[in-house]
Amino acid sequence: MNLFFFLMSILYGILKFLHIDFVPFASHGYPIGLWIAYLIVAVVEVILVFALAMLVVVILVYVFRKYMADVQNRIGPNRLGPWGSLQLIADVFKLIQKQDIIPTAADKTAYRVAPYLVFTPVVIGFMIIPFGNVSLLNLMVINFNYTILFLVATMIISPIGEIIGGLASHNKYGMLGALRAAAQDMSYEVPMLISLISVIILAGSFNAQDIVIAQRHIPFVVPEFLGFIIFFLAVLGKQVFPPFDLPESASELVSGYTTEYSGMRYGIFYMGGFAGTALASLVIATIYFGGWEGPIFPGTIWLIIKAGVFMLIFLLIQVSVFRVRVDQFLNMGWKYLLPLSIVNLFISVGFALFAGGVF
Amino acid sequence: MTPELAALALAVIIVPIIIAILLGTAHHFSPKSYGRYTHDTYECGEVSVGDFQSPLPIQYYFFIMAFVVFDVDFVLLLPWAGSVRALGAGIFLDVVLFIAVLLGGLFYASKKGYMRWSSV
Repeated sequence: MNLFFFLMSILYGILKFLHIDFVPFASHGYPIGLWIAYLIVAVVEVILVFALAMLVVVILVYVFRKYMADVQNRIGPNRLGPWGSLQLIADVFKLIQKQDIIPTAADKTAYRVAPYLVFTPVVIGFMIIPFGNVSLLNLMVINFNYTILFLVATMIISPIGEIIGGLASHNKYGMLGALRAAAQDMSYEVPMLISLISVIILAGSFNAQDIVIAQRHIPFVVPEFLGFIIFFLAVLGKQVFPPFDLPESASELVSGYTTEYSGMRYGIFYMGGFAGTALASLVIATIYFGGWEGPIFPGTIWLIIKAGVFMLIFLLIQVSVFRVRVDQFLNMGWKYLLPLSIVNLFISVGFALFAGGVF
Repeated sequence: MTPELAALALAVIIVPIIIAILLGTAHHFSPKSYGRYTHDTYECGEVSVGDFQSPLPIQYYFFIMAFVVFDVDFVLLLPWAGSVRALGAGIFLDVVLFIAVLLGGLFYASKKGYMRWSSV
């Protein structure tokens, strides 16, 4: 049973108990109390998922700052709260007090829309991750047949927001950053899609839940190691992480597509980046490392452990490598990742057709 | 359309509203100072020179065309991917041919020297 319908039936029971169930107004055979319960549960769940995304961002930013300070032989945030853990909250208050500047040269509408495009798809992506099973209750906000496709579709919308933000700034650096972002998106998206097709072939389903269940014996990283490497590199490119932080390369373009953004608008971009990292780690853990499958502990803890390891790996890479050139990234995407991902596609077809029921 | 998809549609409405509340709060508390250069284009503190729309070569034009071809054609593989076991090896040979045509085109473009970072 799905978490959604579970909460909905509880709420409907409460409404029925309070006699808020106007059967005379029923339409399409459903009592109106059911519609009320449905609406309330949907709104509450969206807000809960938003809170979850923000919580992940707070933790990730804190860990990132402490870790980066450690690598660079500094102390890092240590003033506010225990070990400086409330620093991000203070940062949010600081950003709220900043002046809300929209440059006169900028395209106002597109400039305003871009932060929404960056952050909204990430939160929607969090609604689709299967977080595990508690006996019969399925900890997944939304479940339908094509969740994994929808997940990747949401992951691909936020780079578009970044491109729009850079172009709408009407700033030379922003423009160059957006053009580089477009080049980068084109290079990683096709290999990413093909690696995902390989996973779908092995699992025989488009549903994230089914993909997790298909990995109960062997995680897909074993037959699909090549695909995992490709997907990992693509996610690094998508999250604008070093060595692929070309669109915002702070040492050449001032800040790339976020050059003109300041205050809370920049905060939305920043949080969207970290939430996207968390989402990407969850996706990798789900489709290559068996998601919530694992012995002893409950499933949700396994998923958090697996995704947490990937978040730490992302941070480790971010502080320890230098940047490649943009033409090198294009060459990598088109001349190495794309043919290799097609090799990986054939390997997974071989496993699916001739390995006989192992997967 | 299942009820859960309607919840998804609701999320598309609610999440932007939360962001709008956040941005609206920030706008309400923001100081309103209007200096001479406050709303100018920012270029590291220097006064901006020239127009942002100066002619700029898009040095990856052929990559864009290859991207459109590959993205659209690999979406066509998705229905096959969901039911590889049911369709069997015969259909897989067709898929190999399909991919071979695409990769052949990519290889040709690469040999001709189009698949590189250059101003055409």
